[in-house]
Amino acid sequence: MLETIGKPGGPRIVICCGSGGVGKTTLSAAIGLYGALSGLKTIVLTIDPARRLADVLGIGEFTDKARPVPLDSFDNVSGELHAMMLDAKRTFDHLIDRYAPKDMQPHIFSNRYYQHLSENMGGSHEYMAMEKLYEIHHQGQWDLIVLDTPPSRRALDFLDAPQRVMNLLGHPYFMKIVRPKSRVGKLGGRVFGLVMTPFLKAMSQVIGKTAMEDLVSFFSLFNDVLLDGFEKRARGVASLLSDSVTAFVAITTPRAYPLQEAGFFYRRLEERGMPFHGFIVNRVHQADSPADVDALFLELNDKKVLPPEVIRMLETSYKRFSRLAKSDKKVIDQFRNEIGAEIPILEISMENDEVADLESLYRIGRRIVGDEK
Amino acid sequence: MPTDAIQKDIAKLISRRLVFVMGKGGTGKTTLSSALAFAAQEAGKRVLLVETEEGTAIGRIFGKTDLDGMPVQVSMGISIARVKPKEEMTAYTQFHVKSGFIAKRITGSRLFDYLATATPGLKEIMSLGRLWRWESERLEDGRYIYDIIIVDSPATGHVLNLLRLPKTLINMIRTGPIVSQVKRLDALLKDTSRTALALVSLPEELPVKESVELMSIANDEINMPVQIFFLNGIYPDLSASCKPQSACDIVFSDTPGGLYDSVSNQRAMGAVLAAARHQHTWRGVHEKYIDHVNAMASCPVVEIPFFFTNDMTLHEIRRIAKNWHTPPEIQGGVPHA
Repeated sequence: MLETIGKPGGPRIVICCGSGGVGKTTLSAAIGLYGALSGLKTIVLTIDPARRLADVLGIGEFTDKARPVPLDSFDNVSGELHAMMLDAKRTFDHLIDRYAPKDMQPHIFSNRYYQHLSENMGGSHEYMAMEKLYEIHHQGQWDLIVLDTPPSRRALDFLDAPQRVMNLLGHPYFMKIVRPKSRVGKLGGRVFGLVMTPFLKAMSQVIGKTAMEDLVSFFSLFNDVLLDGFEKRARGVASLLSDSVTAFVAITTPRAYPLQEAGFFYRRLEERGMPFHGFIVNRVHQADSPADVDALFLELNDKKVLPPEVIRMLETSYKRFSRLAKSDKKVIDQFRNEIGAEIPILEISMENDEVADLESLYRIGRRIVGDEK
Repeated sequence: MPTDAIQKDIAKLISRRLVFVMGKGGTGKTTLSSALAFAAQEAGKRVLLVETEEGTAIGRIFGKTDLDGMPVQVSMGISIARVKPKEEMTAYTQFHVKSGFIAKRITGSRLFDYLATATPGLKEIMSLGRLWRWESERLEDGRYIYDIIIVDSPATGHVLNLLRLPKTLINMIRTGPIVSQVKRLDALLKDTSRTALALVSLPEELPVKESVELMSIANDEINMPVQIFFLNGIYPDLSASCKPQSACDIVFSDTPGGLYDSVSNQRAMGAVLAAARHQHTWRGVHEKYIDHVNAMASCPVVEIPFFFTNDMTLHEIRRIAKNWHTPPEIQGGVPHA
């Protein structure tokens, strides 16, 4: 998978989708490291940075500024690896800063709806991840960008951009109803003369009058000062994502929940003709099952090679592990049937320990790319 | 942790009316919710086990895929149901908006769909409203219909919204019929003798980190302290059966050369040793996170053994509940031969 990284015509952007806790950040870093060691100037963007991974990378901690990963433990490195954390709220504020006239900005920043939206409303983090990706890509200083997406289904909402972004902000439906009846006061940033139609009146009975006013003033501000900039931007993001410089991969483990999420990502990408490169199933337990293990235990007992308790322990642990390996294989086979044989599904076997150093990270990167000399 | 202490902690947890089981996706919320339902059933309680909008896992486990707001009995004393916020919101709107025509226009509009997902807390309050009605339903003789309601809660981010709900709503909405509801609901949620939060995590870095964060938000910001912390999927301690220790030192070492020499089938020996070494090393990793969680948690930490499978059967889930009463025969769950 991603065999062309570091070769002419290879991907410039790799987007890793998947639910949380499957090792997405680690695999993103492994892909990034592989890119760097293939001579590319690489940056890994992550949303959910693990302390331990920061240690492995030797960067102290992830921050919203790109930090270089020291690669001195490798010989003849011509590329670079940088790591950076995404800060959704700050990116959102940055956008307002860019597109809204200076005198309107305080009204937007102080709008309770904006505050809620930019801090924790579903979808805004995901959109901001894409926004940041677009910005960084257009800085033009990176050969390879690896993006570790937020772990939610909404991570792909931007695919319907620009409509989706507008929907995300609730814009079109709202404006249709509210627009002709409201005007934004330039001074207070609040709504003047909102004519309450029976519809709006009833609606505010349901959600409350204050919430209604906040919504209306946010969308009115949005419409007046931000719409053009946002739309243009969203269209740019959408076309970048469907371009062949971009490669999507879905990361999962052999468990029901993450597989279901990976399947969901794949179908959404497929529907929109996005460049999907395949699935990586991480943490697969692979047991060697020789036919005559039972004979081995008999032999160990006969020859008293080990104390009986220890032999029993070995037998139990082997049975358990085989059971797990069988269970892993079963769910992956099921998944393969569901998805179809033509889509690559790469298995990464469960390491014997947590990833502890750059060498093991590089090994995983080589395994993903199929470069295991 | 000794079994009788666990038993006491579980008994205390299921003495509540409302238990929210929370955690990241894939940590085993559904398994633990179901195990708690079985434990409550064993204790002679009438249980309602509820799945929330995003999952369908409870229904799947019990073989009912088309669950809705109507509880279905699946076992003596256990009913299951699913909360659908949209349905609740429609019912609520129709109740509060006097004109049927306008109510229909509202609930049928796309704006309504949008508001249902986008207005902070609206979805959650509707779900909570449903739980609250279940909580207060009584039989003719005055007893509650359900002694306990166990909620297989949505993923962490959404649960945070749910927990922050009273504050968010009062801030955002301030007036209107919802606020008065919120205040009464709030009283139920904040009453630790009636409501409890149970947290489920895996012994891995990010799930533990997120759980610890969630715990401090619940304890300090929202004033709904987490009552129990389940660490799920713990590998067994193989070295417990190492007598003498030196035998295991060889088994777990990277170079057990002598062992290979003394058997005829070296490939089989390799497979067996690899399996043991794998579990031994991961047990070490798990212990690190067990210690960390114990140091961070201000509530009991209960370890749930790993069952070495990807799909837990009802039988195995029931065994988790049984193990809370009696010590597990073999630590780490017994593999099916």
